Amino acid sequence: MAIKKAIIILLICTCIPQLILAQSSDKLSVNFNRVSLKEAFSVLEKKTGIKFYYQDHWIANKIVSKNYEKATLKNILNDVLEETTLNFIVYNNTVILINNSVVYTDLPLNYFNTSNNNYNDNSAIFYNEYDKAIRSKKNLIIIGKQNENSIQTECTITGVVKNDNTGAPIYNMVIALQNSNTYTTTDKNGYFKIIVPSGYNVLEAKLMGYDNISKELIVYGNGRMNLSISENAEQLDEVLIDAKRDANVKSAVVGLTTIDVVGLKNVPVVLGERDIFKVITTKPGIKKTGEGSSGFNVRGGRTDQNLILLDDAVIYNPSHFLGFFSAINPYTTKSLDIYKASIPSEYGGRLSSVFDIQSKNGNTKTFSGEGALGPVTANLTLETPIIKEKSALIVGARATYSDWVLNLIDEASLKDSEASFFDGLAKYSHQINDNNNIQGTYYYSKDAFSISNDSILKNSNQLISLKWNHTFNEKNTLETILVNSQYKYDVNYESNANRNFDFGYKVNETQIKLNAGYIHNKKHKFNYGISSKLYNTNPGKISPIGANSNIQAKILQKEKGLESALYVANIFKLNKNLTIDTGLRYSYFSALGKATVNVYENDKPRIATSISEVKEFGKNESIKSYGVFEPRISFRYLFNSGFSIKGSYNRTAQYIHLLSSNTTESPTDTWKLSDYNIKPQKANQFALGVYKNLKDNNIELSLEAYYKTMEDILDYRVGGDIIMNENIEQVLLQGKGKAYGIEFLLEKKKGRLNGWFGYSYSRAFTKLDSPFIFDKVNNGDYFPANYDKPHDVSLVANYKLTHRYSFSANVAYQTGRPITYPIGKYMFAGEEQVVYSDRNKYRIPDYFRVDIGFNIEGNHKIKKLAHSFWNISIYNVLGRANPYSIFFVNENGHVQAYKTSVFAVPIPTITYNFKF
Amino acid sequence: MKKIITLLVCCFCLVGCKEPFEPKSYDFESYLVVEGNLTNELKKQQITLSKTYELTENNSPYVNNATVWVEDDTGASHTYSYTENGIYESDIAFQAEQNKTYQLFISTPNGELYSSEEVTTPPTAEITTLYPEYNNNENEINILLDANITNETAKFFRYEYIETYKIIVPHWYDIDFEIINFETDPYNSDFISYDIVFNQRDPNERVCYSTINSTGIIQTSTKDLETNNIFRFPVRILDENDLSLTRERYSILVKQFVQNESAYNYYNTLNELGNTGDILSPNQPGYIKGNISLENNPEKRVLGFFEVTTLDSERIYFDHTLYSNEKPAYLYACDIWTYDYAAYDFPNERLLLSQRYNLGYKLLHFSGGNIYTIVNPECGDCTSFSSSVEPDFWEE
Repeated sequence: MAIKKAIIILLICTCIPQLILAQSSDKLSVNFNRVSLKEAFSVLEKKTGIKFYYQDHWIANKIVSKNYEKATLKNILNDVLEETTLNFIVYNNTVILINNSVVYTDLPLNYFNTSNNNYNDNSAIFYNEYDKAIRSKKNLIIIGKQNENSIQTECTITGVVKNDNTGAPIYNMVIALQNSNTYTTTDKNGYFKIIVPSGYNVLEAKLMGYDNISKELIVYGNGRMNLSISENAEQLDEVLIDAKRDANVKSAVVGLTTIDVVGLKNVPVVLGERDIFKVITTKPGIKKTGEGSSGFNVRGGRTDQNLILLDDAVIYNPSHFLGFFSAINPYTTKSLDIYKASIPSEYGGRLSSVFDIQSKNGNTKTFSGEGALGPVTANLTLETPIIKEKSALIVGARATYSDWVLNLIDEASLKDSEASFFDGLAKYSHQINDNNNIQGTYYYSKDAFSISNDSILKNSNQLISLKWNHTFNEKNTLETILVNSQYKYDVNYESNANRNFDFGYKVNETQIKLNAGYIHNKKHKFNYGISSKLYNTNPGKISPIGANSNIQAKILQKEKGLESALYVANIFKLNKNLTIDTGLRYSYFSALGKATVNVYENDKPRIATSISEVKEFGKNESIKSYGVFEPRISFRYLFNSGFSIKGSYNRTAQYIHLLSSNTTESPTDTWKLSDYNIKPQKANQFALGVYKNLKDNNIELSLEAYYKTMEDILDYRVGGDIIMNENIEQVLLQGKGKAYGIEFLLEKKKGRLNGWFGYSYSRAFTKLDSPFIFDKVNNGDYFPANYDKPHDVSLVANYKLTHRYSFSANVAYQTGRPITYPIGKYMFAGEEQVVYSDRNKYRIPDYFRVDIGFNIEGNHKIKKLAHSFWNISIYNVLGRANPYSIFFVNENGHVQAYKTSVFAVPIPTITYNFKF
Repeated sequence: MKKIITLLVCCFCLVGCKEPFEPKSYDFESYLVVEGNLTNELKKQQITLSKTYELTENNSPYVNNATVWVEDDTGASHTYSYTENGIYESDIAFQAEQNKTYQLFISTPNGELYSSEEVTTPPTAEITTLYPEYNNNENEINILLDANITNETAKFFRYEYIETYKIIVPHWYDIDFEIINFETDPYNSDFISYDIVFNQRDPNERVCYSTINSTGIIQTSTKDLETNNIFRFPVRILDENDLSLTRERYSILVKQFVQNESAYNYYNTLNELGNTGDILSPNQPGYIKGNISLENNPEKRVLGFFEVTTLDSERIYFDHTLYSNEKPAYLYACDIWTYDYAAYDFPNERLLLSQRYNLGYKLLHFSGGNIYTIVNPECGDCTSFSSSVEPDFWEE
């Protein structure tokens, strides 16, 4: 659709419009003696101080000869313009002339008959609509120019939405046409495009955390409208709301979970830490193995199968203190989208999901800040403009007060331990012009803790992300992204014998990605690009500490790999009802030297005695390459405005794997690249869902089902040594996985009572089969994965008592996770030993927890230094000791069974949040 | 922003907890358990056969009707015969020899034949020194072992120890008492009467020697070390409560077994599974396959391991003077009472004296009349819990 060149921006509205001004009603005396209209307007401008806006050619050749005594500006203008086709409005200390209302001499047939007005409704715009707009005296916007002979029934409105305070573009703002199902959302640059019928329209702009605004428009043709919208920091009612108005029904994406970061503040939390990752586990399909364990299991996937991106850079360990707290600062986070099924083709490298975390852009208008004080951490975020209206910096940091958390743990081995963590983020964003903006993010997080007296573990994440968004024209855009991520840890062990050591591990990746968008026409949109990622890992380095240490300094050979991908995706709108999104991605991985590689005999288990050859590869020489074609396809069929059905098929591949000898993820797990012996993991997922919105999209219902298969997922031989193992492939097994489930979500977005209820029934299985007995687990049959928790119910509710007080609650119930349970004992080495069942044959008791919270907003005085917010919450209010794990230890020659639970008593917390 | 921000700290709370519980018993299955260590020591070698038992039980069932033999690669066969407690002993003394492999066979009366893999004899390695060292901070004694291993291929070590300590009872009296002619009034059971006679005591009840075997898996490896040396390896730690063992004289015999790598790995994994790992990220437990399997059904679980090792041992002696001139507390608390036979009203000391006599209390002092001082048996007679036989090896 071609866009007309003659676009006139008649009005850029601000958020506090004032229509009638004092000057416009002052009485004037003026004499025009055969002057041009242009001259007449300039006389009036001088007398009133009001600026006139018009196009010269409208008033060319128009002469005025009139005398006015003590008339109002309005009267004068009415009179002067009587003979012309011009109209006017006085608005915000300006006079705006409108040259687009043609006088119709005849009324159409149905002008007075409102009951039958489908007839030729858009053929022209009549006075009644115009009158309606004028009379409502609010935010009137006129777009396009009317031409009596043009019957343009649909017009395109484009524009950019910015944050009124910060000047930053607002992403995901819904621009909807009132009383219609037409809507769009703004892109990352705040840009939107909506097609509306010509005539009188009301456009609404909505996004959680911002004022809802509505704009009345008279649309004659294509045009542009920019909006500037304030954040509604005071607003309490709109918490816990998905940002995308009815996007659940209309987009062709299956299995998308969107977290509203602003709304998080009313969700009860543990120890006062507002945590976006805690909230996502209340949504169906996203689980954790246990309370306080790190990593997520998305739709039966393992914890290493999630691509967690912070401003496009991978964050390897997004949790603090073993997983109790998330390492993502909620105050610097703008949005979090989780793709569980339809993973956009631009993303790859992990099997199960993409967590797309975008941080906020700084405030380009004024200096502002936000912070919180809780019992564990203090948190402060500051935003400042660098170049007003153009660029800004946001800096957020969070740190623990002390090590006292661990001292509260009633576990002797942890009692003398210490733990501290820190994370910080800085982001610079710069809007160079309408077509170019750049941003850069730096993030660092660090944990240090000692579990026993003689060892200290330190781990840190660091990432750098640089991004340039460029718009070539209205059809073509390009994002250029350069990112680097690093995760490393270090274990320092000092006892009094000869085994003091320092162990280090590091993974580093650098990626460049060119991501382009192309709008071919109304029916076809394309997204295509190329990316390449270089991995470097130091799988292990050990060095002795002190002169006495007899530990041999050793460095495992570095691993290097290059993962590249080419992709193209097409969104094809066949018709109003059916949209098909097709994505093709081809990923290619090369393990690169320098390396010494063991080659094993084909039909033998991978053990030391079956090595047939040792190959040497030179620097950057390709050791082995794998290419995987990853088609991704999804469709949406819209039955009517609030009801749709969607389906998808997704194939994904993964070339880096987390090695863990534990049942849950731990910070000392290591990432291993695919190599000569270790194949990439691959997955297929089929998903189908139905979506229904009720009550003007206030209630969203969805039901999704999925079936997923996985190949070559990694496991390891029981007792295998994963750390500092030069022949790591000898302890690794590759097996199959399958998962299926059905997820139900009911979400109520507005009203005094809002929140969501989710239920899922899901299963996840692993199969480790091999021709060799000791590589078989459970006889090579499918067995439940560690995180297989069939029933999962969660309820998050918020009830607003008044504008300042609200009450919130979480309820969570899950089937207990599978464990390998002892089925007997025996005597060996002079003490009792345990015989274990088949892997994961039994389950720990079911999990049930209730949290409550009470939120108090600060007062609503306009002139105050800071806006404050109190949150009082009680985590696990029933004090239920939910078992986390069950384990067996040898004590004095006898086996003793223990169960552990985390947060086994109610934990009350008060946090203070402020914003200025 | 200038507001004074006050922090309200959360109330006292517990974050995590660990509690013992009694596990339920599920799906019990009985498996054969084999524990065999063939060493290079010339002796009647032993193999122990037992069975798994339920979680709720405490006694291991033994297998006493199997046929057990060990074959070496020269074809020589050594048969074992059942003795007691599941132990089978070779009929003839023999020893594991270098450059030979050994294989264990077990046949059960129901026709099952189990066999081990062929196991080679590992190299030998000697203990250089074994020494006690007192740690002032922890108030404990570490028994440390150094070994300079000359054979580069000896890298895997397992330890067992036997500790023997001398006991001298703190409250010794040459004479003991005996109650005879005990009578109870038929109308009032509290009213009793008896006679007391004195006997000369056996002086062996004063000095004893207790011997205890180590339990559990104690291992180390020089695999990751620069030099093939074991340095300050703590074989045994006598903690604060164990210091009483050094009151008179303490001796420990440490046996160092050089293991093969597969045996080391088996024991090591077993030991790790018996520990918690990280509480929040527990180890993945499971079945660990040893080197013994059932012929015709290799998937059937067999627990345990047959290993061939080489042995070196070292014995040391020391006492409390290692760390203090003051004797540590006696092993047991002493309970001393003085009763008057004539007091039979309130308190009824005559009754109490007879009751304690029945518990084995020994006479500590008698100064004539009706007054008797007595002490609990642990403090007056070491044979009540130990043995008065001095071991052959004992050196003062």
